[in-house]
Amino acid sequence: MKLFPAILSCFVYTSLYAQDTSRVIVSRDTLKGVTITKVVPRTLGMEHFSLKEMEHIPVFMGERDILKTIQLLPGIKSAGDGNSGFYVRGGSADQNLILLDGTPVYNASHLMGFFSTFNGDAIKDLSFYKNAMPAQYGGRLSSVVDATTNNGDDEQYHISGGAGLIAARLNVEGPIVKNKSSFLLSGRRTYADLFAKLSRDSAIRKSDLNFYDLNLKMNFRLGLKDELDLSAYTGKDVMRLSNAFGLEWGNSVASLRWRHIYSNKLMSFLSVHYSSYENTTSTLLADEAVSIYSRIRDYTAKAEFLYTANARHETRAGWQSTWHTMYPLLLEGGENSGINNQQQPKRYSLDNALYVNNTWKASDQLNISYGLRATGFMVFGGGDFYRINEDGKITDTLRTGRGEVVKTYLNLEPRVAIRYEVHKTGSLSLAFTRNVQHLHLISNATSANPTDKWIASSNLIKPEIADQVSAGYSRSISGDRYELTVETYYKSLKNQLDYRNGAEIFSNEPIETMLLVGKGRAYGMEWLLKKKTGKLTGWIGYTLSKTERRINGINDNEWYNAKQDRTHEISVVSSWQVSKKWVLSANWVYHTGNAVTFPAGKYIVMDDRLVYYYTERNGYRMPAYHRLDVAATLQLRNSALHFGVYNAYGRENAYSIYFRESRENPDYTEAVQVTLFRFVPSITYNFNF
Amino acid sequence: MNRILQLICTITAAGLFTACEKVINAGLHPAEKKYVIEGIITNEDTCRVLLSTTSNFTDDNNFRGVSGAVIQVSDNGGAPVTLAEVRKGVYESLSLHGVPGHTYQLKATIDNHIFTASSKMPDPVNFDALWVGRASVAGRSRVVANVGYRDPQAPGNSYNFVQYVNGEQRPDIFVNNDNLSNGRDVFLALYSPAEIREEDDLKEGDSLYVEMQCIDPNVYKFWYSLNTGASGSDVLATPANPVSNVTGGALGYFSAHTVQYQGMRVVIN
Repeated sequence: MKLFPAILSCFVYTSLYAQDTSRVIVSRDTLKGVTITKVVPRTLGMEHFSLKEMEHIPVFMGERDILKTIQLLPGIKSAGDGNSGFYVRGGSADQNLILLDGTPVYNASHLMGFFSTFNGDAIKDLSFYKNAMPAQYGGRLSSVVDATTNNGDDEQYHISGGAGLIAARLNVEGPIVKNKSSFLLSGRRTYADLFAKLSRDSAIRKSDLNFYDLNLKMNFRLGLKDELDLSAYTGKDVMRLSNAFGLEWGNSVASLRWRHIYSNKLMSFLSVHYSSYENTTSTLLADEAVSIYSRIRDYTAKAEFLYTANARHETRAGWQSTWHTMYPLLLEGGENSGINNQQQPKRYSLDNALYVNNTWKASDQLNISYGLRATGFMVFGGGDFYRINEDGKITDTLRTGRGEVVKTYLNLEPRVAIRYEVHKTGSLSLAFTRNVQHLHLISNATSANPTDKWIASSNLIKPEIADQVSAGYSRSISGDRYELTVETYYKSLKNQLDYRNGAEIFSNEPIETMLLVGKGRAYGMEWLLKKKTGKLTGWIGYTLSKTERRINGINDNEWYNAKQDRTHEISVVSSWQVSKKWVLSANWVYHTGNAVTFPAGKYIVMDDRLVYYYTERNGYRMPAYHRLDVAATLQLRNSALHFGVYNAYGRENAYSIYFRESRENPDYTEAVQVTLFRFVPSITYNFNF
Repeated sequence: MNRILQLICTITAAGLFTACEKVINAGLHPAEKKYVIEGIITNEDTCRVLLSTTSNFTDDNNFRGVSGAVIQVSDNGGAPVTLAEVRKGVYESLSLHGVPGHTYQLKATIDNHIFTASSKMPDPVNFDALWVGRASVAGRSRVVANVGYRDPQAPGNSYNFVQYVNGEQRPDIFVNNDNLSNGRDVFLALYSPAEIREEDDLKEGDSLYVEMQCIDPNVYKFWYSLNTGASGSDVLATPANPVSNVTGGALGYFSAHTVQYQGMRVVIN
């Protein structure tokens, strides 16, 4: 249908990096309104950032956002203004495992990616791995973001919250039974569209643009040896242009975890998890609403044991199984829409993993972490499966029953990380990580947008596999005041997917017929110099990297730059405690423009219809991106005021570049750059009682 | 412009951003020229093949016809008919009569290059209705042309609508197939999110004329992929050349299609 490509084209807007640190821990204790740093043992592939460094970092519209802040670290590339997702060491946006209390969140972005689903008030800490993930993590190729929700205060009731230009937040917490159990309820809702309601333009008045987040956490201590956690999150985005066109998406996740201590050597964690992500695109066809819906829903059970044999050995072993149900496409139109309602068959799969990881302190200088994750992904029947030829044409249809196992993929994922202290202040590290990914976000042009579709491996779609080797050096300078880390990596990716040219994404054709398969490679070097103490803290990060793909059927089957290939990436983050009351902070980012495809020429069809002609995929560059953000925080009693300006020198960064007939001389063509915004000031008030 | 910019407009109106556009020099460098073939044969005695080359981005937008090619079309594998060059790069034949159900082969020979294509002319589906109505586009109510037809029960039908206003062809591409609407009464509003300029709205008294083409699914693929990938306006998807049914390395398409017309004077209630 002709409108769907249009919708698609519209929404393909949103579209991709240690030190000896591949793990970053950001931590905050909101209970007392003070900042603490989680104590993290200095073991392999781990590093922590105190929240003090993070809390004053200027953010867009004044909304504190941990997921956005980590994108200022080397190796992690923000997708850019107006684009959701982030890219880690050449991976795609769907290759990041984003966990909230251990449950995957399939789309962690709000409002064209300007905000994340992690409400700053509700999140306690966040660990981040870009390599050397321990074996308990799996299912995504490139990184792990493991966020934990705050526990409520089990002694006193508190109300905290805040209001900014775009959203208001409220956080309520307290004991259920004093010193035994607690709750925390945290919510956030944007109100930008309330301003839209004041508009004189009726179409804008009738438009919706909002999102909300709701987090609940309950914690019960059952005696000295047992603890129970209940965590739930739900959030939703609505974007609607009068009644003509809309986009809605949302995640709901929940988990129940039971921790039991058997002895001072053995502990167990048993948990069940639920995660659901759904999105709906709606439009009008012949004045009738047509909606396109897709969803992914997971039920997971996990059991994990932590055994500390002695001061030198710590072993973590466990099992997890997830039942995935994918609703690939449900298309519904009104009677006169000219649409036959379509429903592609649901896809079912069971994702099993068995793992063991041992951390071994071999000597005072040598630490080794090694593990193995064994995965068995079972594709279940129900509906038709296919065989296809090279051109994507179906050659055979396989009818399958509900309980039937159509295909099983078995994989072993070894992980090894070694760290050797060369001298008291410096250490060398080396790691190898293999990850396997069974769920794939199929997106056009490697961009991440909420209408992208999650699909599972099938008889035809093989699991993605990534192998990464990395080596690094880290040292402290002038006591512990400064820290310098340098890390280099090489990553190879297999079974990467992209759409075939001319694929009709909203059609009833099986998705396998529209896909092309290829491989990827990424390599680079990352430098990070941190100043950890003193009135002025912060860091300078620099990444030099290359990210390429080679997909049969694209770019004459030759290697080409992935969209997120940015040669240079710099971030400078600083925070200055001027006085007890005032903190000033600033950050500056610079990166090479994304790789893009621009026309090599043009031609005419149908008398005067201009068509652009393309040769090399992603052979051009967007203009370089840079931006300065500044912020000031005024600490008052029980409250704080934040002032900020995002893009303080008003750089006109290119959101996109398109081509058209020249407005001044229609006999010629011109390139037009779209910039989303220049200065974005913000003011936010936060309180805590 | 596409809907994302509409969306940005809305967000801007909501006071969040201030989207702006400016013409820039994108630094495009010239590339090797390619041949472009545009061949049509219809059930109305038109058989015309246009042969041209691509031009550089900074060149003007004029058609760059190529003379001296040998262009042949055959009907269901019959003896090839050579088309005469009537203007630079425009080759025609008056002796070929397109018949639904027949497959036509095209062969173009130029400078040792041989390009071939084949297309099957589908059976015509009746062009039932043309009317004007209001549609909300880019946040305002516009008068737009609507077409209606009944898709046959058998799957595999594809359509192309060409709109003329006051004798001038509109540049938008309106293709549709029965992938989602097989066997149904289909009503389509002929407006494209790619063009939202107010001066393009239909006005009282305009002469509106629509050509309905029943096209080969491979040609549908060409127009569909052109629309999504090569129109220049699709700002963030990675663009690509349209999927061509011409082999040998030329751009373009060869289409055997049926044509029907409807016209009206625009009256706005």
